[in-house]
Amino acid sequence: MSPNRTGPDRTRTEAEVVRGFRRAVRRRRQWQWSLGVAAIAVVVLVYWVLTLTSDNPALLPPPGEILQGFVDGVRDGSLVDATLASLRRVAIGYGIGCAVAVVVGSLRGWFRFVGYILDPIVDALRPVPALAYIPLVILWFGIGESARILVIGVASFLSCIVSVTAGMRRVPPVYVDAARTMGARRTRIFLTIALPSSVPFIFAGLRVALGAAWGTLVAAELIAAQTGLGYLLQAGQEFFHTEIVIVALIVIGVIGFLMDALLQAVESWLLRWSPETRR
Amino acid sequence: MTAGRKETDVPSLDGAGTAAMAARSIQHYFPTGSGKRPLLVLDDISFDVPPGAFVSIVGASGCGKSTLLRIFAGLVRPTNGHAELGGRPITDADAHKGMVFQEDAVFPWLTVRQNVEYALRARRTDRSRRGGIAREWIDRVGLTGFEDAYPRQLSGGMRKRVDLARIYASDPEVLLMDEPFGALDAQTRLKLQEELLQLWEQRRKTVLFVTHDLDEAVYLSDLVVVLAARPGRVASIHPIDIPRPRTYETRGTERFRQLTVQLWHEIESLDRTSRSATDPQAPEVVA
Ligand SMILES: Nc1ncnc2c1ncn2[C@@H]1O[C@H](COP(=O)(O)OP(=O)(O)OP(=O)(O)O)[C@@H](O)[C@H]1O
Ligand SMILES: [Mg+2]
Repeated sequence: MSPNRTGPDRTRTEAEVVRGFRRAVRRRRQWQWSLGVAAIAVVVLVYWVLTLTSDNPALLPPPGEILQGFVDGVRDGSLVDATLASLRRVAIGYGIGCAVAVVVGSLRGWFRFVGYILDPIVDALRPVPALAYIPLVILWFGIGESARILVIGVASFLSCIVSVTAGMRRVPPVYVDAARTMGARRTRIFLTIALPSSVPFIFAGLRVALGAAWGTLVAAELIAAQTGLGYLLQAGQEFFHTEIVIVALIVIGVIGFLMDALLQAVESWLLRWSPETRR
Repeated sequence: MTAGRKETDVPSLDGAGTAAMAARSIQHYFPTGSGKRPLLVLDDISFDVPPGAFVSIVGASGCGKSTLLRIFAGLVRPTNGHAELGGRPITDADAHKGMVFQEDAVFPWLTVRQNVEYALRARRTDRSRRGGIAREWIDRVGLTGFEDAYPRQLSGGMRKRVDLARIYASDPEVLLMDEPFGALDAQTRLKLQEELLQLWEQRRKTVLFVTHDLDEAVYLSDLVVVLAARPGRVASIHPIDIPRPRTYETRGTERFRQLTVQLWHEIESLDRTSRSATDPQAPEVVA
């Protein structure tokens, strides 16, 4: 037998160990991507088989036709315009809604008296779905861009604030006590102890709110919108263009997915200290 | 910056920086839920801690040691009586009373260096001096090379050292330490005891130290306060007349063993009397 170079008894050098770690990470990523892509391919394949067996191509357009719809939408700009219009609404509504939720949620969660004042109001507003505010929003603000953004903002706010407040109320007291015995006072403790230790909860809220924002988009664009993915969905249904409906759905899904991935990336960077973060 | 650092970058802990402490008839109740009688955890606790002294508190689990230390830290307001620092009643927590908690209190979202600098920032030390002081203390507790590690990357003993470095760097008038080495393995514990003793010998800060390790109490202290349980009361105060500086060999001396055995008997008998007093059905301890 030749000298055993790869056998289990050979001592691995540090460089090899480092390479081994890298390879393990790379392999995990490869699996993650290939399985994810494969799953999507299976779904598309199943759908394609379904369209073949269907006798109504207007209701079940084959993948090629959906792709054509997408290409046409990009060419004539209608899909791009709709996407940008929706993105803008979601970005502004979600941004403002969440910013307010983080500020109000952490203040009421951290400072007891702010909680006594705000808890009844916020907790009474929460069970009302954001969509239920649409009539009131139209009455007060008319039918316009600000009305649509406001509804998305309300939806984001309502779904974000719960978890922000919960995080503030779960800050381990020993950290607060330690900071106090080092001379930190109220504002410093809020900024340097309460906020960082609530980051996991704040991000849970941000991610739930992202879903809520996109979920409310379609409804918000029912408010006499002439653009937007929600409008496209509506129009596609009215003019019996099933492929446009499906394209709009896919675009919403993909954008939501990308935004969530971005949030996750920011979160795991902010939580690089946490022993609970999966690496 | 590294080379030209002067000794004065490290806060001076000796003499002038420290103060006497005292417990004056401290009594403390905890609420136990509506309708029930409150729980008396500390009853009429009085003792003096001379400036620069190392005083240990020992007693059964649950007898109120942590509560007493939190009262000294200003984190808990006693129901009656008060704790004193330098002759003045303690009413609030601040950087004069540094505390090492029984639990892991190192901030997990900050690196080792940031944890140590946190204390300096909180007490508004000049930005220019922070780095040097932090580096000095990280070095003294033997964590050089781990400045940028997060607590999750450290062992339990290393995290406790961060906690110690943080408190030493914040330069309090007095140190309150609640079983700081309790959760550590025997070897790490011995090593940290040595380090603590060395530091204390150099600086002579007043220390109030909770432990239930009698060897540790005798080895480190000038005075050992024994608390009886339910409610916590001062059972006795033992002066430890072993000369300093003490070394590992001190543990082998006759006097050391006498004192620890004496303490052990005392705590044993307290345990027996308290058990027969509170629970008549408790089985007699067979010798
Ligand atoms: N926040 C609290 N609320 C109610 N009861 C408490 C509280 N903190 C402590 N106690 C009670 O007070 C008593 C003393 O607790 P303490 O933590 O001071 O004991 P200890 O002597 O430090 O015990 P150990 O050695 O196990 O750390 C215990 O009976 C405990 O149940
Ligand atoms: Mg305790």
